[in-house]
Amino acid sequence: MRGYTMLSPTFIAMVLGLAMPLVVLFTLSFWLQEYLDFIRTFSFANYFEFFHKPIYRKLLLKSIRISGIVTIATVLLAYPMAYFIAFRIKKNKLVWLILITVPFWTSYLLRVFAWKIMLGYNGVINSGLISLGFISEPLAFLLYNPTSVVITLAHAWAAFAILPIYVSLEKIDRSLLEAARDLGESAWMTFLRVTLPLSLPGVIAASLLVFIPTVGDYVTPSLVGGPRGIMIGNVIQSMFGESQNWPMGAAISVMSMFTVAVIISLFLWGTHSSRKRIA
Amino acid sequence: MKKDQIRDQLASGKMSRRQFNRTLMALGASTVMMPMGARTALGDSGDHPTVFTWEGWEVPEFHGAYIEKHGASPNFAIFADEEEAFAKMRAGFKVDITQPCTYKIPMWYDAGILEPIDTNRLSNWPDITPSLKTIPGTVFNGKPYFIPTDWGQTSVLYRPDLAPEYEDNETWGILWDPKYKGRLSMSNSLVDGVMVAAIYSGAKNPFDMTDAEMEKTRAALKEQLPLIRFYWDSPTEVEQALASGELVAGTTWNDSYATMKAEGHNVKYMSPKEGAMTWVCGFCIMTDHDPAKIDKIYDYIDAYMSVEAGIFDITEYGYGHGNAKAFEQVDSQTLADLGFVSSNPDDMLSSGIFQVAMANEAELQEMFDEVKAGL
Amino acid sequence: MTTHRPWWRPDGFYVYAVLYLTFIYLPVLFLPLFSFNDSKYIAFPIKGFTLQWYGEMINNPSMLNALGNSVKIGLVVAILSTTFGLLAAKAITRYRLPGRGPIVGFIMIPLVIPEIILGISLLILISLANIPLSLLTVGFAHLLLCIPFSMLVLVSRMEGFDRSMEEAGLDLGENAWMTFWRVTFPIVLPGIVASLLLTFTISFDEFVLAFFLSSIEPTLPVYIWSSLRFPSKLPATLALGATIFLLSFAIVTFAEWVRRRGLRIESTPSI
Repeated sequence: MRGYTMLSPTFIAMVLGLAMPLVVLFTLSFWLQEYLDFIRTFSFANYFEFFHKPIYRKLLLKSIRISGIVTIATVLLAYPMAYFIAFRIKKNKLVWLILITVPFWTSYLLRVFAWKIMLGYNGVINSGLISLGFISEPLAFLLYNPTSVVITLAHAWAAFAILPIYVSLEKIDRSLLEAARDLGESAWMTFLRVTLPLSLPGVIAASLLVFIPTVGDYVTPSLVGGPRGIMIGNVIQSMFGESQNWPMGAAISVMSMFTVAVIISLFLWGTHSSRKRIA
Repeated sequence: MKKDQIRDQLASGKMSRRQFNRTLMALGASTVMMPMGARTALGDSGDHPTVFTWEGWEVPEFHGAYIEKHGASPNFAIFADEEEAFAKMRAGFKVDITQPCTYKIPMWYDAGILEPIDTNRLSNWPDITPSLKTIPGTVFNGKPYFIPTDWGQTSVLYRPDLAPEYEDNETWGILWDPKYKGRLSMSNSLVDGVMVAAIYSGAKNPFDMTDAEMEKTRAALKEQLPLIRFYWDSPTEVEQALASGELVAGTTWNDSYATMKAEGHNVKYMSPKEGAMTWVCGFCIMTDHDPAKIDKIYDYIDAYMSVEAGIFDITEYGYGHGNAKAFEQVDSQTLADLGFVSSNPDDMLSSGIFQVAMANEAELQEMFDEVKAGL
Repeated sequence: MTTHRPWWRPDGFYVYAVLYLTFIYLPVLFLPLFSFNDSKYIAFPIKGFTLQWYGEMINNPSMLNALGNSVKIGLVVAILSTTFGLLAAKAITRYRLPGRGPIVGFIMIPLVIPEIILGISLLILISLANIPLSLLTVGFAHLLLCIPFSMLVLVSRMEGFDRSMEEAGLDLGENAWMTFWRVTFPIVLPGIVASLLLTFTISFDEFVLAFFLSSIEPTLPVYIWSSLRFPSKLPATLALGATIFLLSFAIVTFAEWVRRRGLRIESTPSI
């Protein structure tokens, strides 16, 4: 009972704020739009259209692929950094955590412009390569394609991967590691058999925190993705804007949320069973 | 069914579970619908009206006379594009005045959010350029719903040093020139982007195309896609890229020409042989406005339409202003530097393709999205 | 465990840390650079030195006001969402709750739901309730968005937390609050810090919800988005970004310096 009491403030706050959006989302998705009016009869037409027209499937898959790559890249790059802060830094860990976060207090838009300076036509990388004599014409492929979307997102979400991983590494009992070493395990084996499994909750949290929000992102693809950069979020956005088709926008959102939920469940199930096997 | 009834029935246990569920659904449904018509008190602060407009139009230079009379500026809520503004108002955001462009007026009128404007209450109305007073799609049942404040052009801004052959051959076609693959950009919007493809592909009326013309437009967009570096969402992006030489040409509004010229960049603004596009933005009074503030609403609009505000608009922002007298006050050299080809606004307005409301926007947007998705 | 290595054979982790910090800092360092550049356009080559943009920044009250709004909302949201997240995380990890899965799933929804839908439907809800839009409504929306972040971080910290330590505290006759303060809190502290940092960052940078739920008081991202309309406003925005960056950097350094001094004084043996 105490557990529920403890949970209830958070739960109530979420119900207050979320119940209505969910009702709106699901109700809308079964309605239809005619010019400016909603046709309020129950209909699967939007869902039918979702499966019927290739654009939605294609963009949803593309978004999931890009977010997946971003998530893997971000988490892999973040892990050694989190490990470094947790095990190699003895003092002032807080300072390090803040140092990791400070770059992200500059506005996201400004950081996107900064990446354009880095990757752009006569940006830092191109100018550098030209002055070193490696290339004579600026490389155009650095910017405005899926790669630049991945780079920009992996940068933007770096702190969101480092912090959860650090937090779970930090709680590992140091005597466990020493015990493993005393038993003659190599440093690498200790890591694989003790540290990594124990830090898995952090890795899972980091993966979810990066993966879920990036699937629906529409700002980054339109700013650095180039002419073919659109993802599912851009289509949802235009359904609520220029297309004036809120019900279709809701249906696409429901499908995209559903797909993400399935992927997360599979991911959690997979990590859970592999954790069990290690244990 | 009224809420009280529902509660009574629930209390007395008369309502079956099924019935209750059905009612709940209806409640959810009406919850979704209500704000569309409901008047809710939002965005409301103090005695001054709230103006929902673009960033940059809220500066005091535009409403000096209002400040003089009422001692302060009105309240401003800012939007970055009209679609988001419309969605926000449809969801219940209440404001007194908005400042959209002409091509949005018919839809906003149909949505029932616009109120007719009494032009007799505006002392500056007689000085407004006559052709702006009767733009198609801004007058309904003989009543004006729109006060034209600013106008300008959408055309191609290009680097003559990088594409010299277009200096004597100004055409939208530069945006389809394979020589400049990866060095071209277009607006990521229907009115300033897809319409360009419609004009280029020869649609008779780009704003109301036949099915065959739609297909030609789609083909033009598909042909152009591999040549495009990026579709821009803000003038900042396209100007940055033109300045750095990343782009050779891109569609822009005419103020981009003025800004870049003033910065010393070698750029030219086209008068395409197919015709540049002309846009007009202006004030609407919303049905949701606070009736107690109606005098101040008119005072604000009138202040914006004054000659002083007009001169500021023309010289500082490079846009045309609705007040014809403001034009007379600016010398022709300044006008030429700003890219105005004529000091008579009517000349420029009549030479261009006027942006009006687009038929089947949803279909156009879907087409644009499909092209971008590579379909 | 630490061995002192000569400088020419550095620990691989240090090398990696330096590279990684370069990756996250390098793009950001261009903001200060271009904020002093005498051109409206962010592009190489650098034209010349100017303080003009900083002047424009100081003389732009609406931008500074927007910054103030964002800082206020960010701080309040960070503290509140971490409190809510902490309660939920503790309940979830400490007790066996039937129905825990669906409840946790529900709390996670703001992560999955597209922000534009959350924004529009919250606006519908708020206008139905006749609540005027203000910074409070933006804060509420950010709170919803931040709680799942906070909860996930804290759950990963508290999972596998040794309950016997808390029980020992209770056995020693301490009340629940004291036990929390003296036993639980120090253990979850890193999680709390991480949660505060993350939630502040999210709120400080969030645009969509803030657009739909703000009225005449914009937050900084809303302001910056709309000001992209005028390229000539970008440099002043850059100056602001650079100032935020350098200022937070300076504050962290100063705070750390003060702390170290404090430690040194404490540890000086008093005779």
